Amino acid sequence: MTTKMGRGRISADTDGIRKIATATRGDVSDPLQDVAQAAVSSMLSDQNAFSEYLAGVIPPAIEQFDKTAETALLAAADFADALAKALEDTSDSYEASDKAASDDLTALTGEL
Amino acid sequence: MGLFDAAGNLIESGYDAVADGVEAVGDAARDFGDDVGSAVGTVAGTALGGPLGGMVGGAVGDVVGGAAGAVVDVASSAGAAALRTTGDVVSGIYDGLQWATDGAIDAIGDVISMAIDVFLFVPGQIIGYLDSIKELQSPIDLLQCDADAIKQLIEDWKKIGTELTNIGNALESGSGSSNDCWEGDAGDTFRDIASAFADSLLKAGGLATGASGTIDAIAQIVAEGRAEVLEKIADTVETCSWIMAGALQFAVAFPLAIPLAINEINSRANEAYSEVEARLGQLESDVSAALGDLAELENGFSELEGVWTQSAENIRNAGARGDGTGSDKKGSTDTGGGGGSSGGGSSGGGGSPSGGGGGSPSGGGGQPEEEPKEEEPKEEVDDSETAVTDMPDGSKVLDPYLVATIPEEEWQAMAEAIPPEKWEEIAANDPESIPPELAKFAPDHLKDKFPSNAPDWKPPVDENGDPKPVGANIPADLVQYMTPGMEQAIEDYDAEAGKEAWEQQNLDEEQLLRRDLEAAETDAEKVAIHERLDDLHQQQEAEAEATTQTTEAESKQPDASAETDEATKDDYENALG
Repeated sequence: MTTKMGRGRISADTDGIRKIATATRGDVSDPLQDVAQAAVSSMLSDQNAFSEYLAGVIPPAIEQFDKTAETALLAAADFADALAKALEDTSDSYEASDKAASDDLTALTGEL
Repeated sequence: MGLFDAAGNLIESGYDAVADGVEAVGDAARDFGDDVGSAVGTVAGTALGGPLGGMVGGAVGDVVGGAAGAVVDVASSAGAAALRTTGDVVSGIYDGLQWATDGAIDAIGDVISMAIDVFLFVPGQIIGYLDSIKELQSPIDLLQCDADAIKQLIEDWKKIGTELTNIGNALESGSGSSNDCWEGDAGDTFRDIASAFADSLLKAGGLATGASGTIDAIAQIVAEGRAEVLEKIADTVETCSWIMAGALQFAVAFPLAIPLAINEINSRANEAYSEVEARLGQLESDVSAALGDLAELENGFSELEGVWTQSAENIRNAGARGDGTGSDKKGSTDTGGGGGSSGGGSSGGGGSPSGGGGGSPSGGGGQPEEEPKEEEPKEEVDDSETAVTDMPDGSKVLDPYLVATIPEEEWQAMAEAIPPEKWEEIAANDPESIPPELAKFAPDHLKDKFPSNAPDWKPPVDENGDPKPVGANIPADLVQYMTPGMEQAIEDYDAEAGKEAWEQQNLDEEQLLRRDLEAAETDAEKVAIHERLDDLHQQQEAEAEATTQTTEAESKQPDASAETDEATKDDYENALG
């Protein structure tokens, strides 16, 4: 495990980091997907809701807005997923680092 | 409208009040039908086939004459009762309109339409002369709205805004609490990213709430326009009702009253229609302007989408690259050194000038059988696109190997472009936030404020003690000072060339040879590298021996000095006896 120079201590509870990853999925990514779904579901079912006179003006604009928002929110959910995955990898990395350090010490002890 | 008010009063004084609202219109129409239905039908057939037949659509003068004849026919056929009942109907229309004005806006259009229908039924055979009134019905139909659907849409976006805000707040507080279980660069960087992400979600929440408000505003614009149009039409129909009522009242004594009334009604209806058209044009214009607001909100979502997509891609690309590097080097026991680049992408750890070694999420790669799968997409990565990671907070993290390709003079030019007060601010608040390459060119009086400028500062190393690739984090407020030369370096960036440049700058020959040895695939290559390493070792040993001899030679001087010292000491002791 590398240490940071010129700064305070480093500590990492890998279970804690995994929990953050899980929370990032459960509390951020998943709800964002639901919200994205809600955005696209909110499209006007009645094309003439704002009147037949404005049917060619308002509904298309709202539909385009809904789709753009949906795409954006899905991207946000995807970013949250990627962040969660990175956190899991970080946790793995800390564990691998710890194990490697342990192996190194064991090897050194054996040589002694 | 004084004349017609008088006529209305006359009618009202002569007849009983009609029932309220729309029912009044309907009742009146039924009464009319019961009383004179057959008579009007007969007369209408006669009139349209006879005196009026050839005059429909003709000049006003003809209309006046023809209509007058028709009404005389009506009067003579059905008598005063028919006219009295017709006045009843008109009065009913008026009552219906009064009732509708006080009621829901959706009902008004229906009542007006009904009133127009009834009104057109009243004159019976002269309907052909009142098309202008009928024209007023089309805007009413075109402006029918579905208020419930609009209300639902507004509520949906309001709810989406609230949910996004809640998610952003949850992320902010959740990442903040991670401080308890995760200290160090990687943890700090994660919290920075999570905070920036949370901010962007709050911004998205604001956009969604804004959309709700904008749609609401559009609905208001439509409702107001519609109400004004309906009011105009209702006023016109009401006025025309009284005109017709008055004409009918005096038709027996003054037959020309009917054609004059028709002329007046057509004139007023046409004028109203023009006004309605103008109002509809205004409505469309107002709606277009409001839709411009919606388009701006949409742009906001597009921008966020770009940032989120790029960030996710960068994390994954960096992770894939980190996996490859880590696996190449150490396999499953990689202790994180190879993951530095991934840390730079995901958590920004690599972007810290101080190393951020903890941010190495890629280190967990380590499963050899997955290596080929990871390497394939790596070849598809456009290096210039992955050279820089755009963070949600607006900062940029430059790939470690990109940093190696940026000439020193570019860093110097960037440093010189940063205003002195900005340097003061960075030095005072967060001197570690900028890369050593930039800190090196800080103003002289601030140089010692930056840790990387300290004489004993050394670049971060990995667990083997070898220099570690570290990216450069450019804070959001300094991005604007990046030079065109840097932008060019980003555009021209080639990962392999960058890696080569970094190795040349940071590794000595032995380190380079050991790296080559790890990458060597054939025995011949390995033998050649080993031979070169042996040569190098021999050379180093020779140099060390030469150094030792030089040191020994030089040490004679201190020895002599020691002898002198010793002699002095002996002399002193001797002197003391």
